[in-house]
Amino acid sequence: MMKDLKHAGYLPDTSEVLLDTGEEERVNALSRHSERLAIAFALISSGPEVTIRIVKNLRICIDCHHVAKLVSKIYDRKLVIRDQTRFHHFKNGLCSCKDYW
Amino acid sequence: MCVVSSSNHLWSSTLSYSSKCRTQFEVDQIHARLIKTKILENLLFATKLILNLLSSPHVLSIKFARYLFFSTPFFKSYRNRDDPFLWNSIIKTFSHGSDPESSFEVFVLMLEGGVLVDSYSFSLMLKACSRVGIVSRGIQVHGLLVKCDFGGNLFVQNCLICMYVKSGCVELGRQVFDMMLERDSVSYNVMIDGYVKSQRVDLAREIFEVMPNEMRNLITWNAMIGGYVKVEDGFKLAWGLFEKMPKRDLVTWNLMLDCCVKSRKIELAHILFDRMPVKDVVSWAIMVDGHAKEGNVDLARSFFDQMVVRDVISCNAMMAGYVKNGRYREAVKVFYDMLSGRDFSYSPDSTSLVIVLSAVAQLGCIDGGVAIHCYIKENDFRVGGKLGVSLIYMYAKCGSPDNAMSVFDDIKEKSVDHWNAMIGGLAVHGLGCLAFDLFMKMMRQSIEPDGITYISVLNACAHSGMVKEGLICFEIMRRVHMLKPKLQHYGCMVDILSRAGHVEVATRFVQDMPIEPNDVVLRTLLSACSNHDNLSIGEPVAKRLIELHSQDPSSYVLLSNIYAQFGMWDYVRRIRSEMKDRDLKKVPGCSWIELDGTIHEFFVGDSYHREIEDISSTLCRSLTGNSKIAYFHL
Repeated sequence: MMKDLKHAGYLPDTSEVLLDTGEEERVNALSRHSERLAIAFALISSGPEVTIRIVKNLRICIDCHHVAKLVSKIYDRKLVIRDQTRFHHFKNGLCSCKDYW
Repeated sequence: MCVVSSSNHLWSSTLSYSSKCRTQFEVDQIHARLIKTKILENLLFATKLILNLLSSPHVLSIKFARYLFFSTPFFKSYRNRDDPFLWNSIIKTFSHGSDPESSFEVFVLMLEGGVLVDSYSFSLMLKACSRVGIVSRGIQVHGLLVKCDFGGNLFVQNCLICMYVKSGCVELGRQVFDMMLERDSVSYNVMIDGYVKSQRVDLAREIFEVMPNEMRNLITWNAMIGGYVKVEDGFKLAWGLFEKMPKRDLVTWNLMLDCCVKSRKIELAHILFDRMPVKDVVSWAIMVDGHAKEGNVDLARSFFDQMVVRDVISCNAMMAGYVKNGRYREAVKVFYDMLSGRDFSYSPDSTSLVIVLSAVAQLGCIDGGVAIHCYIKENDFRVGGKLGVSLIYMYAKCGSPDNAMSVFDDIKEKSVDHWNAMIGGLAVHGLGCLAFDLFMKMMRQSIEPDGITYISVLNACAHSGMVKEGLICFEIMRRVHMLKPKLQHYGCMVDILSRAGHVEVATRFVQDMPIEPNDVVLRTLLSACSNHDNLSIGEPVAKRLIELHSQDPSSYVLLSNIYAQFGMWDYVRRIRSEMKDRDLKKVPGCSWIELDGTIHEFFVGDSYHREIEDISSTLCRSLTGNSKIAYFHL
């Protein structure tokens, strides 16, 4: 999945990874975010027409938000992610929150 | 049905058949026979027939009886009689049936016809008044019965007190009570019950104390104990009565059990439960509900499992207990067990549906929600009231604002709660403009908004960055609807300003608030400082929060994040070390997803090192349990 995203021009945004470490470790930290795992699981476990619905207990970070937008564009899937305070509807590379959350 | 020439046989067969009518066709058969044979011209037979029909449990028979009474020649000859018995029987079908309003019309006809009314007529009319709840009607009937010289009749006076009490005018009932020359147990019991239901247990106790001991019965004692159950610190007084009463019944034991549970005397509740000579479903439901509310859900479940006979109320108590304690999957399982009849089969009622919909909403499982909605439609549940609110809320929380709107549009009589749920639902989806439009529509329809409406609208403005609209709403709330903003409203305003990046303005708002800001408001401001890199405001706010709520990890994390934004890594380490010393752990991120009816939960694990490049191998490794990814199946 990450290869496909990188081909589409994805660059990890580590601005919200507030660790006193190097960039590679920060990128690693991002890859372990739970919603990313859930998205990956949904992509392999559901058909192309199925809307991916995920619920998260905390606020979605900038990078995962960006990944979700790209996934919706590259794989042509609708994603609906409910985080701690609101919903994000991802479709064709855009989010309903208009990047204001 | 054969027509027999003998009139006796004709009478008896018609009477016998009339009591068994269930369908309109059968009623029409009787009607045809009456027309053909003209036996209705005999007043004695007509009276017997009407009484027979009135005593039937079937609505069609009752309606036919009324028709016979009013619209046939029988009525003209009957109305001159002095015996109100038949009139009373007709009135009773209204006063005790589904249309108490119509009792008044019949009563007026009775009076116009010069029929002598008796004490029973007045008791029926007072019953109708209490069911309709319009005390002015009750006062009119009161005036009439005094004029007709029934003011001193004990039976009628008891009915009067009951009417005033049920219409919410307990003081008027007390006036009648005080004027009575003679009282019986019913008089005292109705008065005590009236005071208890108006939350004046102290006055109920006064009546109880002056009540002669020989008149006190189980109803009296139970009413008093029931009153103390609802009062804070009423346990001692309830217990005093419980010990003193000469006899107890199952209701007494259940009330005392409920009192123990509500006063959090769980050990005493257990002792009482074991001592009870007889237990019923209510007793078990009290234990289930009590333990669940205390947070002991597993203990509640053990009581639930021990029940030999369950009912829908105990199932609802178990579901509600699970929901209250965040165990939503188990709540949904109880609901499906109710339907499947595997362990127990009871038809869920609308309360069950409200509870399970709230569980589904928290889980965010749209498929489950849709299935329950289909069940509601198939079983003709009325989608209004609380059920309507729950459905709207569920669809909104499960990510389907369109379905929520469709349910909202279909509700014919919308209350303010429906509007609130819909506006709130649009808010969390970032549909601020639609939410605001709906709010305006609500006002155009002259539906009075309440505090929750404004929380929903302000929330919508916060999520959509509508700062101006938020400020306008806040002013409308204060100046137009004269609602005093509560802490939650101020919190929403701080949120609107914070999210839009106006951190200084938000800070001034917090300083100028007439109410002391709580941790939620401060945390909203702190979160904004973290997102917009504001150390000068964020640091003192965080320190204040940590002083007030030292056990909440989020304030430490937010402060640590602010320091990290500025590269102040020593400070970050200090905060993290302080968290460790206090044994505070950051809430781990967790996401869950529903696929084909199964919920899959994902946590973040520190030992997880592989990137998600190869999804298949990642998932295979997770299934062997090497990393901290867990699956929970419904």
